[in-house]
Amino acid sequence: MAITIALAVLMPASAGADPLRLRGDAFVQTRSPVGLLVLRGEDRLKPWIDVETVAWVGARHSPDATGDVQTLTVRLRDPAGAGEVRAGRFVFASGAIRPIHLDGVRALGRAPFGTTLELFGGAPVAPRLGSRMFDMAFGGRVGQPIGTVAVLGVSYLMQRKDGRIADQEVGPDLAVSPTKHLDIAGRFAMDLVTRGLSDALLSVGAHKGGIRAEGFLTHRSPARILPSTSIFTVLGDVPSTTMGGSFRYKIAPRLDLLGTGGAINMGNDVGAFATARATLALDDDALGTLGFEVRRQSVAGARWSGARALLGLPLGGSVRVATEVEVVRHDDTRWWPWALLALAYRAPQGWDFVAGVEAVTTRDERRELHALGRVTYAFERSK
Amino acid sequence: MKRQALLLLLCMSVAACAGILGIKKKDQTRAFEHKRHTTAGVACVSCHEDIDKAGDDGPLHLPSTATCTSCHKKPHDTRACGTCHGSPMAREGAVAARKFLKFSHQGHLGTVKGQCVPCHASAGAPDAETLRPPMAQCFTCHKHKDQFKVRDCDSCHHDLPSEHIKPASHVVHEGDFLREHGVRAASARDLCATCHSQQSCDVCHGATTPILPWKLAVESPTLSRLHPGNFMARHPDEAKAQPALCATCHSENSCLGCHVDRNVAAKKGVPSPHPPGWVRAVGGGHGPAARLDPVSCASCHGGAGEMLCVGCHKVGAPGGTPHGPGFSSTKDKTKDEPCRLCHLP
Repeated sequence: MAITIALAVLMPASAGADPLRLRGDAFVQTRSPVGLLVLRGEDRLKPWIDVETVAWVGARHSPDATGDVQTLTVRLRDPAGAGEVRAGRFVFASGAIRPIHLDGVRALGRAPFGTTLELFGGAPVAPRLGSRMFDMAFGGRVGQPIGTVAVLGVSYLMQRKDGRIADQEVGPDLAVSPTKHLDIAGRFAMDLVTRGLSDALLSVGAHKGGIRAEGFLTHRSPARILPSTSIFTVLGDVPSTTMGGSFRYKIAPRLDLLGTGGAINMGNDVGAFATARATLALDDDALGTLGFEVRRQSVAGARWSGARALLGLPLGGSVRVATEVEVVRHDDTRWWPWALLALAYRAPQGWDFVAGVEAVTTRDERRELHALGRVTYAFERSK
Repeated sequence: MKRQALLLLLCMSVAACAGILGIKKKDQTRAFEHKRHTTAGVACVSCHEDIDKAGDDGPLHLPSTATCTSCHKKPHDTRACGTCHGSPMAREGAVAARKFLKFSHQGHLGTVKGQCVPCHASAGAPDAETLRPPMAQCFTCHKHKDQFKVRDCDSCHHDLPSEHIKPASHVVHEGDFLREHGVRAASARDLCATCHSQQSCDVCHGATTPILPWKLAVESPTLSRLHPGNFMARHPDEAKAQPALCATCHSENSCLGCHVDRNVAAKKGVPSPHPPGWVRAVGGGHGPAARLDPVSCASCHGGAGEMLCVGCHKVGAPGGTPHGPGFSSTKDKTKDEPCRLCHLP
């Protein structure tokens, strides 16, 4: 169906169409082969319509073959920007409500004074072409820019599962850039079924030149994130709150340093996490890169340390090699080493080939070796 | 003395690594000496011939060696002048502008009264890597307020997604952007959509994503990834450290399919993944763990599996009330789900 719709829209315009993009990916790994088909079509002669789809087929242990559609949308839009309508399968992510994968319709309208109104409705996607007869979701968001420094919005979601209310949320979102060196963003979702804050994020960032520093705060209530029809929502509210910061510094033209860390509070337990990363470009165009990362996590019995090194290197011509090595040591003395080696070749006329080997240690400390490969064909006609 | 030696060693290390760190450029090309030429009275159009007639397409009006030698009669080198004079980035910038932007010099030169420098201000800088004016320069005359408000980029940009330009304003994709992007996208998703297609969201947030998204780009290890490296081995620890974070993308029972396939779910012939003493008549670890992270419980015991809880915790049963301190609900306990499972008269 995806191909039919895409071709139906693209074929009549083929004489003067630009840009037309088609892409096919076949990904194979010894664990489970997967093939993806990515189609995207736009036409400058018909700027009011575009189509996009990602579909895949694969093999699993059981059943033997499976597949699904990840994206299948047709978008109609007013070229002057007054509004647009998207129909099909897509992820709706806007405002304070969490992203929702939907079979449905989303409409966006813009008023001349900047107000935007988004409405969506449909059925939440059931994996593997499953159907959920009485599941539905609808909602929307109203947004208003305040001058050129802020955007304020309010969004609402109602979700029904088997006909019963599973989720009902409302919340504001805000993005402010009072100066060119400072930005503030936040979103707060309130659960209307079991009254309370279900999910909130706030970040304040400052940047100048090659330095950026950011502080963030998140609050999440697991019992309110579950559908309210779940029996696990009756256990009471034990939210988790995370407070932390991140820092990025371009210490030299080719060397970036990044650090993120924070503390998390869950019930009576307080934990901490930290990541430090250095990335060195091996040439001015960053075609080759060397990176190193260390991580530490010590939260609620999940206590481990890890280190990861990576290297991406052009070997000349259109060949590229990439490797990653990771070692994770759990505090209970278990080790999970992991390594990946990949070789990529970009052939003329839009063909890409990648082959790789992945050495894995599973959670129960079995050691496995997997081969993986990808063939991509991308077709693009620009004029 | 020791400190001085260390400082000296540090300076020597930085000097030795200057090339690797990008402090000292290996590339010996340099920015073209525009300022020296203009102060010497050479008009821009003397070298960039016919630029005043250039439209939206056609050749670039970059000077050739012949243009240079028309004045510099005795060149100091036999190679083409552009080999060393003029930054390759400036040249590539001009090529990209011709390909991706709708722009006509002919249409602009009259308005700016033949003055090139107001737009190409960087031509005066001795180390300017690009001469293409920044977008902010366009905004000094073209407010584009209305176009920006409605995300109409097509009036200047031929094909924004293919252009691969980085946003120059507050929407900068650097630092820990993967962690930050949600809160920013929340308030300006249609701004994201000017460059990103729908599949950018679906590949991670979709309920039907077939594989870990990073595996499709194994040849690019520097890309930011949400589930990097051997995520499979440590995913229970990652989930434990951020209760319910997984459920913001994955459905609450998404674990079950894989766990059954990989024989790590309790079923006939497979031992329970929980430690001994997990469920006891009094005490046991499952109660406090469930309060802290009910999403993890629901990931396997959701749906029909909830009856496992009901067996012990229904009204009058030995498990007692599962409600935490201060629990209250507006639901009708004999009619609404899930209350009626335990409270049926």
